[in-house]
Amino acid sequence: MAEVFVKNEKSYKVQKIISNVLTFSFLGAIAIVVLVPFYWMILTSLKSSTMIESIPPILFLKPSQWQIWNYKALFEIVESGPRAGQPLFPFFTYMKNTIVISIITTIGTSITTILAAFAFARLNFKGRDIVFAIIIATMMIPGEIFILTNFLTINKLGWYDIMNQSYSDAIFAMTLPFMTSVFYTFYLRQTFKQIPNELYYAAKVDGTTDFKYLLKVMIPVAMPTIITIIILNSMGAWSAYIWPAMVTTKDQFRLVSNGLRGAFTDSGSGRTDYGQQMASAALVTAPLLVVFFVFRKQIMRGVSRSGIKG
Amino acid sequence: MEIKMLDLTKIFVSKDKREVHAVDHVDLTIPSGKLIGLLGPSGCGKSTTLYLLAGLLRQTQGQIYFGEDEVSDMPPEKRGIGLVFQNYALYPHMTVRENILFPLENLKVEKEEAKKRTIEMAQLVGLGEMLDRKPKELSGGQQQRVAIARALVKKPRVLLLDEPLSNLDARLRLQTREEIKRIQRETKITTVFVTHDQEEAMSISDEIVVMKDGVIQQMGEPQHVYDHPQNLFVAQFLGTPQINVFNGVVKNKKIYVNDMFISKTTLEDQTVKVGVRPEGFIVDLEKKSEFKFEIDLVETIGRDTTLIIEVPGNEGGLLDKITFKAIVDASLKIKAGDWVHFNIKPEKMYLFDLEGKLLK
Amino acid sequence: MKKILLSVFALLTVFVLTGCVEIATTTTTEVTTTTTSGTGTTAKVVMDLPDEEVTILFWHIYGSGKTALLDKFIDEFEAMYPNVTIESQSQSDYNTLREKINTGIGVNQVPTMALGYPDHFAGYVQAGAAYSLNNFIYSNIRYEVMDSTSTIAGEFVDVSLDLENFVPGYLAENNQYVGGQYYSMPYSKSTETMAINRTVVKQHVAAIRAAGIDVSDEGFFSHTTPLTFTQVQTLGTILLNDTATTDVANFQCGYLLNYDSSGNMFINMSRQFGAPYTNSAGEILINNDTTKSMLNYINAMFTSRTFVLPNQFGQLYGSTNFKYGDICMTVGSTAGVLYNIPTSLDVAANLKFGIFDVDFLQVPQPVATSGQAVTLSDGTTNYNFTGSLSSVQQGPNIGIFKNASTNEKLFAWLFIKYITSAENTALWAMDTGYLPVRLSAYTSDVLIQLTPTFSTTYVDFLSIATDYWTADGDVDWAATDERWDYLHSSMVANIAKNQALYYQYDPAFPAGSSSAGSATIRVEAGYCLENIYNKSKTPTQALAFLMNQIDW
Repeated sequence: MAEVFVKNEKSYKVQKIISNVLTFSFLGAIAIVVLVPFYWMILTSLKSSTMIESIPPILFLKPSQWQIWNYKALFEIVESGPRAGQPLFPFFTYMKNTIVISIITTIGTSITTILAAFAFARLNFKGRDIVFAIIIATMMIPGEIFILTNFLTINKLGWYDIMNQSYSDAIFAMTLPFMTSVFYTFYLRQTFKQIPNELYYAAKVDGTTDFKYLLKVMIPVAMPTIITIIILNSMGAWSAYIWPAMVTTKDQFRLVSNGLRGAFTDSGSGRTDYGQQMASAALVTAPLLVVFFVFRKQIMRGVSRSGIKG
Repeated sequence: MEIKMLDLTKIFVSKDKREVHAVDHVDLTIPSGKLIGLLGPSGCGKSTTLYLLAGLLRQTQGQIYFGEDEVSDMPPEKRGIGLVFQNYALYPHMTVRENILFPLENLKVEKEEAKKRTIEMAQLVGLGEMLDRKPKELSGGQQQRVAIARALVKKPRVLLLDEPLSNLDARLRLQTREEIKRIQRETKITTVFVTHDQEEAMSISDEIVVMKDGVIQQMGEPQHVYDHPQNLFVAQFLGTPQINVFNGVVKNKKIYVNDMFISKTTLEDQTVKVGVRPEGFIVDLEKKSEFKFEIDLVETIGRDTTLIIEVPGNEGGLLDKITFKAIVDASLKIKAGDWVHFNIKPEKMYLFDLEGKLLK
Repeated sequence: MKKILLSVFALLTVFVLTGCVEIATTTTTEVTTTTTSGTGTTAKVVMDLPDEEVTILFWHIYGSGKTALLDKFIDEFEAMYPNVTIESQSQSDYNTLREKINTGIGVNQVPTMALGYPDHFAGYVQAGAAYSLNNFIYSNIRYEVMDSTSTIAGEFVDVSLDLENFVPGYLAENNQYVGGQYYSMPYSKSTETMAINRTVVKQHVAAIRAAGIDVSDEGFFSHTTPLTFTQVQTLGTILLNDTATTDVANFQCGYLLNYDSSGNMFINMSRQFGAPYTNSAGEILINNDTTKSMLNYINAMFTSRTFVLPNQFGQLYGSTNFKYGDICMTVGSTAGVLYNIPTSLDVAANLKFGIFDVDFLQVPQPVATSGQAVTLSDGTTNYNFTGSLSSVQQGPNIGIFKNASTNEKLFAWLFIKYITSAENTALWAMDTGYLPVRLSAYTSDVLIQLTPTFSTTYVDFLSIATDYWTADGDVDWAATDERWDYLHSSMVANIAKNQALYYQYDPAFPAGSSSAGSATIRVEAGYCLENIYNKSKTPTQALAFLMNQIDW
């Protein structure tokens, strides 16, 4: 009897070890898949162009081989000429624009998304479901199609005057079309719908208005979803490319994504200085990584959607 | 605070445009300081009535008075009510303290006062030690007590409880039931307690109101309603096991069920429904009674034995069901297969007409 | 009679140009003079230069940091014309630039002038947005610069442009549009040249001479006469190893001649072999027997490793494997010259021939003179063509849009004239690695400061390579003299100058209702050769597939 027990315990232990090995090797493999591009970015940013084209590829670099030059070049100052004293690659200008755009679109999107989701989830008005269905249906239209209409709108609003577009014009033009999101509205509405009616009734009895209920109860309760939306939206704004290039007339209004694309490609030979490009990509990625590490709890919570219990 | 409902009616229009009278011309007065159990099967309109009292639904017609105040058109927050839900409806992102404090913030109660009252309330419901926990760190019973504290903290005129115990398991349910009763006694607040569980209603309420199809069937002290049901529905709804109902006839001042004589009566000749509470059967050891059945199953629990008698094909004149139950003294040692003769305790037997109205 | 007509024309022009009715102030010197210019004589109408404030919006794709010289041109131009402001703005990349202009045409948001490829301008012409530069090129107006703050105050400025001065191939490209009008002018032009591993060649000088090919003791081939394909094949028998791997001991490569751009290879070889390709009207002529024959020849050359594409090495360009010694010769853009030169910065272990000597030649041609019949052979099959000399010209042009006001267009034009002047195009060429657009630039003797410690004229810049070649490479070019830093750039500039005589352009047209645009066809033509190279399709299949992709 005791022997059987020991044997069982043993096989249980073996089983556990095997399952652990499998789990961790799977997770390890996934982690490698995720990390390799980052590693490659950093590695490339530390290589000279001849190291980059080396075959077979160089997989590791000793610190003594690092070409910090790629990073330094990003902050080089033009020595002479009419642009003297200005940075060669206006990294900080691009970065500032990207941050401004991300913040504005994210705030805008959050506000419109929250209000729309609230209306569709909580308020009763005539034609609500039809309007919602129509809005959802627009998700089937590919975003590229909106570029032209958005462009015309922005032009009509006077924000795309190529002769004298001001910084605020450019900011409005870049952000306005992205201040709403059907998908996020839908996503948040579903979360709002999961909040039990009784919570609303309780709040009503406790003397809150609809708006106060939204502010004090729905938003805090749906916070994981809202944080997910904020993160996804700011990441989208961070990497937006086509639209910002379309509606900005001057280089100093552009985003880091636009800057990265063109700045390191030789207009004559069409060749790209990958070392510098990756160095600046690393610098652009760094803030995102910091944000991820700081907010990883919220992000994970948002992603795993710890639903609201009734 | 006395609650008075006059001709209260709520009509819902369903999707296929049918009108549903969820609450139908209800006239009801709930005496001040009492705990009233609003009882009925699901869909009977009891929750609707509660929501009408709370102001979360607007009545189609009729008036509601809290004391002298007519509150019919008041929004919920002005009515001075506390409301507790089946699923507690606590704000999940707030601590116990914040939950209880929330209504006071809305009422703009002065901060120190609000804090004091919050602590008082938490102590009243026995959660003084748990003020800084989040709802999900509490048991269901504790959560419901928080909900009650939150409902009471603003000193409402009326406390409304919507199936507050249904989400709790049996042990907690008993505990919380006692707790609610205690709190109500201490605060002396007029309380309406909605439930579909008749046992719960009977044990907790000062008075019960039985509803069906939006109409009040009977109101009174629980034992009184149990002993004196005004109609077949009330008789059937109250009591476990359920009352047994037989198809009977009155002939020459005698009641027969399936040609078996049961009892004498003063009624005229007619067809009747005979309701007999399970505890209303007396085993006739002398086997003189005509009212006899073969026992199919015997369940003995403690000092009571439940005899289960199957009557296939309605040959026993049994209404609706194919079995009936009789509770008798366990010392009788009756076995399955025995033939047992029954006498009926007159006070446990009710005669109804075919519409279910009690015949006196 | 003629004079009266001219005066009337002048008056009308004044109205149009200035939109001003006060003739007295604008035509103070209504003098008709005759000047000698180029080949003929033109009567000039002299007028005051408009002095109203003008802002010119110039869109290009030069990232910040690469615009120093352009900014300098702008500063100088603004000093010459103080009433003009030039807003120079980069629009990220060529696709975005074209998209923005195409979208902007509908809403009147188009710059005054912009950089663009010929097919972009073909599109603008089709949309009716491009302005015909013939209005300026053949103008007889001469302006007097009245503004005393101008650096050229009191001087006379002709609107017209002497086209004789320009590289003919470029002109042909820029007036290929409807009506034979110029809708753009050449600006940042480049071509393809061939880099060759001279260290390897030097080891086989005797064998090469024995095969009848002229080569110097130091391994220099002629820089004025291109190698023929037959000669390339002969070099293959000498320079190629039997296997596809480089044999360092015997100085033999695994592959002979790489073409960086398979699209250019297809187009240029079509012209060299007289195979119809497309025309500016947008007709697709590719599907013909000559093209088939050409593809079969190329296929045979791929098989024998005489020709190779960068795909062989999983690369976009052949330069890396050229440096590594896998390839002996490589055809690529003049703008990417320096990528072919092995240096001490390279990973030494990768350089099979170490830091070898690189020379530059014209791209191989089928014949010595256009119109000659040529028979090529792969050893089993003969391919008969009527050969022509042809080399690729590429790079963006610059044009003006209709929407701009008369004065904006005028000053935009003067700016184009300014940046394509002989001195400035020479300066631009040396600064950027592009080629001068004017023949006169090759004789420019204006001193240009290339680095703080080194200045040169374009003539002297060209002589760096010719001195080297004349000395049969007996120069320590790695020495400290800064001049030798420009050796390879100079070589390429010389080769390009010689090739400029037979530049051909790729007809440009936007996508039509039944066929793709010229840019797409170039890409697909490149895929066609890649399919043949990969052996995924036979030449016949690859051609059929190509036709299917571009014609619908």
